[in-house]
Amino acid sequence: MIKELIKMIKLTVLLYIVCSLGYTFLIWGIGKIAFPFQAGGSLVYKNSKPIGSMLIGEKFTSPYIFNGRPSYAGNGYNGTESGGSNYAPTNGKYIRHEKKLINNFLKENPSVKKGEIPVDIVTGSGSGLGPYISIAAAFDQVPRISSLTGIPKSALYMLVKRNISYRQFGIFGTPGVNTVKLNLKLSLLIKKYNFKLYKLIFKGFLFKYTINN
Amino acid sequence: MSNKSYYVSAFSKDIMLSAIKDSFKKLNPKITVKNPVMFVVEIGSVITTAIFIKDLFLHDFKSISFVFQITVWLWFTVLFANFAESISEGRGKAQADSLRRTKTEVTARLLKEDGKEEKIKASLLRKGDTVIAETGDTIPADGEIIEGIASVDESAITGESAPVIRESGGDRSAVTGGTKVLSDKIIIRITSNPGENFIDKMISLVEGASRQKTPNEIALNILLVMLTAIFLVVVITLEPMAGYFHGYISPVILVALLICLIPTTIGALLSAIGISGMDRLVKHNVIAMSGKAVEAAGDVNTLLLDKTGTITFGNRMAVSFIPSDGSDVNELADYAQLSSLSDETPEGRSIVTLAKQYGFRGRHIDEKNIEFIPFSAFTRMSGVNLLDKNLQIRKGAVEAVVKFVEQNKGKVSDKTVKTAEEISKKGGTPLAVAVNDRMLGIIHLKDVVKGGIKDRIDSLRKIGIKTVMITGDNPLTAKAIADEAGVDDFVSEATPETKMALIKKEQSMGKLVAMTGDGTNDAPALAQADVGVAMNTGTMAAKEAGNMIDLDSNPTKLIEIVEIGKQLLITRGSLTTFSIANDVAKYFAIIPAMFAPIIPWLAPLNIMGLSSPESAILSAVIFNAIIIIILIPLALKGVKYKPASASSILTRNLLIYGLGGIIVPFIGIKIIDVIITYLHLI
Amino acid sequence: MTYTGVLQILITLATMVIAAVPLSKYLAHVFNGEATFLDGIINPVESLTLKFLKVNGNEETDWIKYLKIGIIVNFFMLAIVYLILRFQNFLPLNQMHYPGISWALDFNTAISFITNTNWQNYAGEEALSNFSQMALVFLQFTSAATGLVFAVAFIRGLVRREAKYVGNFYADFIKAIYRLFLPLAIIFAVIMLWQGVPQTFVMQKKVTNMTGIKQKLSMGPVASMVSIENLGTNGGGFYDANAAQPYENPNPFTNALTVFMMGTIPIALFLMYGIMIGNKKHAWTLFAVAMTLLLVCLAIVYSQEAHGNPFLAKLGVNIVASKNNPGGNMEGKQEHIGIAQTSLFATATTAFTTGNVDSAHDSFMPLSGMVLIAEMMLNLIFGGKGVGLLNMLTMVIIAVFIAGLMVGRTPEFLGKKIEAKEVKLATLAMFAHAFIILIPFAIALAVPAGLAGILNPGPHGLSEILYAYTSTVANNGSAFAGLNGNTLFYNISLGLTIFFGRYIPIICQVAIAGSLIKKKSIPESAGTFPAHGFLFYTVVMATILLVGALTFFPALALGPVAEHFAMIKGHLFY
Repeated sequence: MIKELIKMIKLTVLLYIVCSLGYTFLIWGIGKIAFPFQAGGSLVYKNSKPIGSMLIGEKFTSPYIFNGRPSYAGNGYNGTESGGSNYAPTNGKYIRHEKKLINNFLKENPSVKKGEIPVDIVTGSGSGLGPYISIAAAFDQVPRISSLTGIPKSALYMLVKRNISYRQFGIFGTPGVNTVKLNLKLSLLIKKYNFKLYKLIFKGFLFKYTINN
Repeated sequence: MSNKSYYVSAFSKDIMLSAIKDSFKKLNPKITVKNPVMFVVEIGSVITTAIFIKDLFLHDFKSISFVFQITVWLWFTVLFANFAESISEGRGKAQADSLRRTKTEVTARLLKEDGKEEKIKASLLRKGDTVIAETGDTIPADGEIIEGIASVDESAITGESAPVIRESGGDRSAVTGGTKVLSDKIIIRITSNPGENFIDKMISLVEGASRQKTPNEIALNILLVMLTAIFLVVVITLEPMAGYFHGYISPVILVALLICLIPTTIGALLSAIGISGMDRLVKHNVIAMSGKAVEAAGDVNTLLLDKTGTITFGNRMAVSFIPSDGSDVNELADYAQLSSLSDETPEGRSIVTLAKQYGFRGRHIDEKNIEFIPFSAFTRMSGVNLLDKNLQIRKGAVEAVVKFVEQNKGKVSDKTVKTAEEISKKGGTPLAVAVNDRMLGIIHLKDVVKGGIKDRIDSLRKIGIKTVMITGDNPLTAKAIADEAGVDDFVSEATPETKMALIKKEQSMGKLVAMTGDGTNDAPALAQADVGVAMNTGTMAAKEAGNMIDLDSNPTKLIEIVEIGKQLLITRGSLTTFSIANDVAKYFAIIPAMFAPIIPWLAPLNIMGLSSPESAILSAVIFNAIIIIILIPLALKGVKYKPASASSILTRNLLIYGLGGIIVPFIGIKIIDVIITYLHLI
Repeated sequence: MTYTGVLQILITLATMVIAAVPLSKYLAHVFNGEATFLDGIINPVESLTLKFLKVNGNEETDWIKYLKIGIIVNFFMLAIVYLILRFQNFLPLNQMHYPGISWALDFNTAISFITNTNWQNYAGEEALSNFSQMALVFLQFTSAATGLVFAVAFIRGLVRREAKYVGNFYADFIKAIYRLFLPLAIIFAVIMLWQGVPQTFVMQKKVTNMTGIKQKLSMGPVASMVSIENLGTNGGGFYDANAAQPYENPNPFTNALTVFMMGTIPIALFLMYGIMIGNKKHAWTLFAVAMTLLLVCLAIVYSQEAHGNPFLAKLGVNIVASKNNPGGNMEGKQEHIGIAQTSLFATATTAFTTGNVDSAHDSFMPLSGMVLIAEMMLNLIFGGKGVGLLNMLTMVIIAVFIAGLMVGRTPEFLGKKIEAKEVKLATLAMFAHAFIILIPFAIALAVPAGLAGILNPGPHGLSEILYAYTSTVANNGSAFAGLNGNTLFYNISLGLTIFFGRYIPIICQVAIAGSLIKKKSIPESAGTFPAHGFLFYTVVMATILLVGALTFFPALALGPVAEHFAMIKGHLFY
């Protein structure tokens, strides 16, 4: 029996070394060599400072830029506290909360008619970190952004259209717009059309950015 | 199917009455506990009864009528189950009683060693004693004839009134206690002790006293017990679920649901099905030594059929006339018929019959001018002499007839001899016919396969059973018969040893083998076979080795035995399916009713539109009880069985008992609901 | 529901089936000890390993010893991981200095991972060091291999006649890891890396976005976990939100690929079973049963989710899908992945008992939620590694038993008689499954500690608890995550249901194999009803549905069904 137990312990230790340590380090090595960008979290840098990840949504709440979906990750888009609302569709508290979100959205985007609100923009994603919003949700925000920034609507519509992520391979998924990418592009547009505003909106960022630089 | 004298109908008044009485007796928990499903029902009934009494004393009349009715129907459920069992036992008991009546106290004429006779009571006879029985005596116990020959009336056991011949030596030496000697005198060596006689065994078998659960029954019982356990868990969890919604479900309703869900239908009928399966065998005059044997019969893969008696009539029959050179068929037929007029053997009769096809019908022969020459082993011929025409007609073994012709200075052509040889080779028997010095030709006698046997063998093949013909004939003869009967395989020149070897070979491939036998040398094979049917005419050794005895001694019955075995299993399986399928409707009746006051949104689940929660639950309980009564005849009679492939049998039974089992209760519960609402029972 | 939605679902499923065919052949070769194309590389490593263990791979044992070794080895593995998690603060790769996790949570987690359940009462990114996550990866390999080799032992019980030995546990186990899980895990980890899944030892990265808002990003060796997590149908993700976290599942393609990883091996195991027993038609019939169930479940989930929440529609939200608006029930779903892929993922993760989620199941429509629970209650729609096949065969034994009686023969399965012992063990496994789900569920409903964890009121709260116990017993690991499971009550009770839910059925099932292996095999005849074809399909399907429905109908009626009817009536719960 003892002999048998020794075999079992040896098996356990051996497989631990192979499957936990060996395997993880092997993939890590492959990532380092072949896919350093992805392996590092698909980070976007501006002047060698990470400003976010292409894959992770951010707390875009300013009315001047494209807002993302409501997030229940921590206090919103906290990358260390992924999670959804977990509200059931029949939860009265949830529907009350939705009413608030909907009213806010309608107030911020008066051009959107009741009954036409895109469903994604008032609901949270599963992790609270999804960077995507629907095309409709992006279009719906164009009039607001246009009137606040002075960028012509047509330029904004064009921006959205250019940044649509279509179905992968023409098959997988639903078309949507990555807000991280979209807002990066939008910042350039704001810079071009309204530099004063650009400095205003991105002040804190630019300030910190320069200090840190 | 023979309906023999002591076979009793299940629904006679006596049986009904005693079954009703027994149903109450069986409420004794000590008895009910053997049937776990019904035991749970009984406990449930006790619980609701207690609640009823409590309500009565506490003057809580809010739902007392409902509680009372549920309680009553739960008790009915138990009683109906008991009734089903009692009634199936009742029939066996009645049969046993009628057997017992034949077993009145007999005086035996014990033959002592000094050769003197002493009259003692039969019950004092021991194994090894020797007794005498003469015309009119009842044979006092099972035994073997050691001297003499007698005709015996065995109707007490077989129900068959025609007497049978029993004689010392050979395979017909066994006699059974309780049978009657009709003529002659025999000396018998007793082979069994009192209480162990065949008739005693038979009584206990038909009575079901020694009934043990069969392997499949045990397995099915486990399934039913586990299902009951699962439903118990399901029902127990309902109370906390109701509690979650701040509700409460009365224990009466929980008990009602539990009883409806557990497989009460099959639980109630299971033993009745088993008993009546044995019973159906009795109806076919077959006594099975155990239920296991009946079940094994349903599983048989290979049937060993003795050629003689099972596949063929066992008598050779004339099938054609082959004339010699210089004579024609008509002439041959004519003389052949003449020669056979006094021949009362089956062969002789078959020759007369065959000749009739050539237009030779009834003849008038002046008896004064005719002299019959009987067959003798010495001459190996028989025939007639027509004195007025001076004709000597002979018929018999070819060599003998050739000799006869040559004695009369006649000549026999080689061709005729060759024809005879060919017939022999093909397994037939040639008979030569001659008149004076002329050889007329050959009669071809052949073993004839029973009519309809081919169809039966085909239908056996359809249900996946391989038939093997066993014969002592040479391979050629065997093959000819095997082809004609359509059996899958045959064994020629068989000895008891080859039979045994064949059984072992089949069994080593995992197959179950059934066979019939009657001789003492069959005994080892009968014991080895999974189903060994001994002929009642057979020796005691054979009867003891087999696990079934065919009182009619008809080997063809093996086929019916297989069918009865299958039918037994099919009935169990089908009613189990029906019972479980019933639960779907019961859920739809009870769950919405149960939660109506607590979770009103569940109302759409009340798809039957039952009028009130109480009536819904009561209807389900009533249906659950009544269906047992309705299905009793089916349980006793067995589900209809026609030989067909497994797939088509399954399809049929799935549709009737599976799909039917889902649909029927929906209709039944709805009807009961309408009735009790109409009667304002709730 | 949209055409493109249906199309991408069907393409994903078809690819899985197509890939499963060659994989099944390969696996049959592996476990029959026949040559495969990987022999050149793996044979030397494997024999070296066996030599190190001092195991003679050809020395087989009976089922009891096989099972015993398996379970004891499982225990050692559990112990290692328990200790690593408990004392992770003393171990390397803990940049965030997370403390060791509490004993109750550790008990729950270690059991959860050794049993292939991967129920997570912790949030990976907030509680575990990279070293701990890597330890879990170890269990993700071994738990999958454990289930697989037990299934192989079972199959040998069916194949071998009048025999005693079912195989050598060590040899089978090593084969499963070296020849299946490790190579595939490496390949798919690399694909996932390429698609954007991180693989780093940095645990956290602080970033400041363009509007000056700070954000913390959690990272780690995610790619290596994601591949085995799904290939092993473990489902325990690196992050709390599992595959809903974009780092685990960055895009619709990885979503489909994840489903592919979850499902292909379980499907291949069904087919491997057919090859090993020499009756492919039989296996394809069981495949058809499972596939039908999968498709029906998928159709319900997809149609319900695509239909959306009527309460939101009343508030002015457009829940109808159009070119620019996804429509449907988007609460808890990733926008780009979409309703169709999410429905597929949810159905697959509960069918293949993976438990990985790419959305918040708690926010699904009532009937979708019911389907997800029901899939786990059945636990045989292909199921997890080996276990799904075992559960399917258990059900087949019951089906064959009743059907066998109905054709008038002692029931037999693949030529072997089903007798009292097999029925006892099979029904015991069934009973255990029902008992371990329903009784703890009822207890949780009855005690304040159980009710305390509920997030959503009304029938949905009941569903949350039902989901938790069903998921743990089925060794799935997904959750109606609104339920707060990280309490003493749930850590212990769910830990126990995971434990018993895994080992009791497996012991019963391997014992069935131990009983069947001794039996003779009866040749098939016209009297045996064939174990393939439409009739067999119907019988098995009817048994599954009937047994499943009868056992769980009340619980489902009071949870999701009641919620659904209430929703139709416009009733909200507070």
